[in-house]
Amino acid sequence: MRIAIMGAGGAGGCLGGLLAKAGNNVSLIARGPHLAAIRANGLKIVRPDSEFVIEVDATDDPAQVGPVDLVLFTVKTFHNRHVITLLKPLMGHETSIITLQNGVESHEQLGAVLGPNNILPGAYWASSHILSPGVIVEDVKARISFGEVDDTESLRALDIRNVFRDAGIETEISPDPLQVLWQKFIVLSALAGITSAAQTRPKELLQFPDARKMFCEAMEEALAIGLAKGINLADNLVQESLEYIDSLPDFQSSMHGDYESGRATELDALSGAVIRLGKQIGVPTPIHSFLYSVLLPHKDGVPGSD
Amino acid sequence: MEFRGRIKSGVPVMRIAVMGAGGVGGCLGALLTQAGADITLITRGEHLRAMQEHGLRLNQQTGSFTIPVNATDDPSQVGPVDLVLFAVKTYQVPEAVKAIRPLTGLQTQIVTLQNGVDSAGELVREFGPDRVLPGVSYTIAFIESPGVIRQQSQTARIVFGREDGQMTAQAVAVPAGLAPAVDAEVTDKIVSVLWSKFLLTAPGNAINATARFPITRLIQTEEGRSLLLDAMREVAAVGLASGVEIDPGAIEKGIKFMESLPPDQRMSMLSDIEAGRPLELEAQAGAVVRIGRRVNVPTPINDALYALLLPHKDGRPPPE
Repeated sequence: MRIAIMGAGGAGGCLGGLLAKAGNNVSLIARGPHLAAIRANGLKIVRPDSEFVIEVDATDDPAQVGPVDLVLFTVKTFHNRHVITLLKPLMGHETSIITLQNGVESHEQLGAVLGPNNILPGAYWASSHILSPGVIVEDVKARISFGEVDDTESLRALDIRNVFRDAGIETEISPDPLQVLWQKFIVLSALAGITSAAQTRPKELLQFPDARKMFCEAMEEALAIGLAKGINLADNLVQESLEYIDSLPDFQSSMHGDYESGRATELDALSGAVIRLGKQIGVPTPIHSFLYSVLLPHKDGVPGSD
Repeated sequence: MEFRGRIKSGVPVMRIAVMGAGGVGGCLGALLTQAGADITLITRGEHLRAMQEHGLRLNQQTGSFTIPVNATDDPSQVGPVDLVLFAVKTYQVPEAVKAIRPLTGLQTQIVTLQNGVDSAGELVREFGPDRVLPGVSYTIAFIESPGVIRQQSQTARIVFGREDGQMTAQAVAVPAGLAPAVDAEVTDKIVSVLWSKFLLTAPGNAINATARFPITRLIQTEEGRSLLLDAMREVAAVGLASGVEIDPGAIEKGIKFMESLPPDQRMSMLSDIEAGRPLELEAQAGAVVRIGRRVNVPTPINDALYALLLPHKDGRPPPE
């Protein structure tokens, strides 16, 4: 399959490396020292149980790549506004795009510019990051869920799933990808917000009853919005999510990591989106509004830390 | 009033002890020592050793001086005084209340200079209402390094008075004993005065610490400004419900004061959290939450600030 990865960071780089190793024709779209290192030395992927280096096409110019079968859209959400139009040269008659980002708005943002029928919303669970230019560490093995917005069974989704599975990526087609996106969004927006503002990891923070209550209230806000929008979400989602987070080993939300390192954060796609969507549909969001206000000064990071 | 201090012009002067010679206590102590007061500073550790060996240095906006001071970590060496300036951090209050027993005689007046509205209560329980004068410090100062205090405010001003508003002879005599080094005023409305400052400092401190960002710059954004306003309104509502007379213009005055500060002004809790020091959380946002619950006033913003600062309350090393 001819595949372009838009944004070859932790998630995109890791998936691109695995897909290329399995024999797909992959082009990575990246920039800066990371791009230079991939061109010079290939892309190195350090998995939990193995590691490899692979030579893979890499460029900062999508026009050099031309039309592909599949685009994985894996940039950080705050790049969406500038990057979406850059995808045009990658689009052929039958190009599919899977969005694999945090938040719940990306598929609509891409659909508005590139046509909604080309977009398959997806969610990505993993923990991977750029260790140094050209080197990506995958701490937890990647898992992907994606599907058609209108719940149809499509051949293109099956083809893509098979290609991913052949590359050793755990992949499932979801009959309701928006449900999956929202489930992840409800937990992540609340957790990223409170752990960033408290500058404390979930394991420690959630031992404090006050913070635990606040986490649940923040999830309730986003859940109420999802339900009002007609997303199919379980009433006990908050309790289940709390138990799920409690069951995880110690980890750090990516927004907390970005904040701590002085990088730009995805605040606008998380608490910012909760506030925006809440206003649209008439659901109050006091906790997320609070979190947004105290995290706003750090949203764009410290210049020079990227 | 008959004082216990050294004889000056034929009469004994006021004998003063400063309990806790940190920013505010150290600043007042240096100014009073320089003015010739009979005064002892009670502090400990490296800060004490530095001032015993090299004197106490006060860096001011317009100059600085170093002066030898009477300093000790043992109040029993000092004995009873006429006035205790009680200037420890709020989380040190329970320990310090016990420690100052040797300083107190029947007439001794204790002026509290903590942030918050409830430190005087612990002293009243120990020493009764006739010896305790809850007070407010408008002196902005901090320890720059051991033995060195930086005074940021131009003046050193304190206001105090009995909680019940009585203007007793003992209370009224205090300002003259501190003048002219310290601008001191007795009031019959100290509870309102305490809350006027609390209204501003409790939310301001908690917000600038939670946002890890100077308050003056934070209130330049619409979000930051309405956050501070909403948090101050919560404190005002809690005060009113507790029966405190709150100046109706206090919130507007508070915002104006914040806007008048230098652009990168850090309120103390921001400096404390950045340095990994313990926070005066229980006396500030924590007190708003606790008193709010008691008088049935919801305080959602202060609840949130308190919840997110709690892991840092006892101090913790800052991240890399």
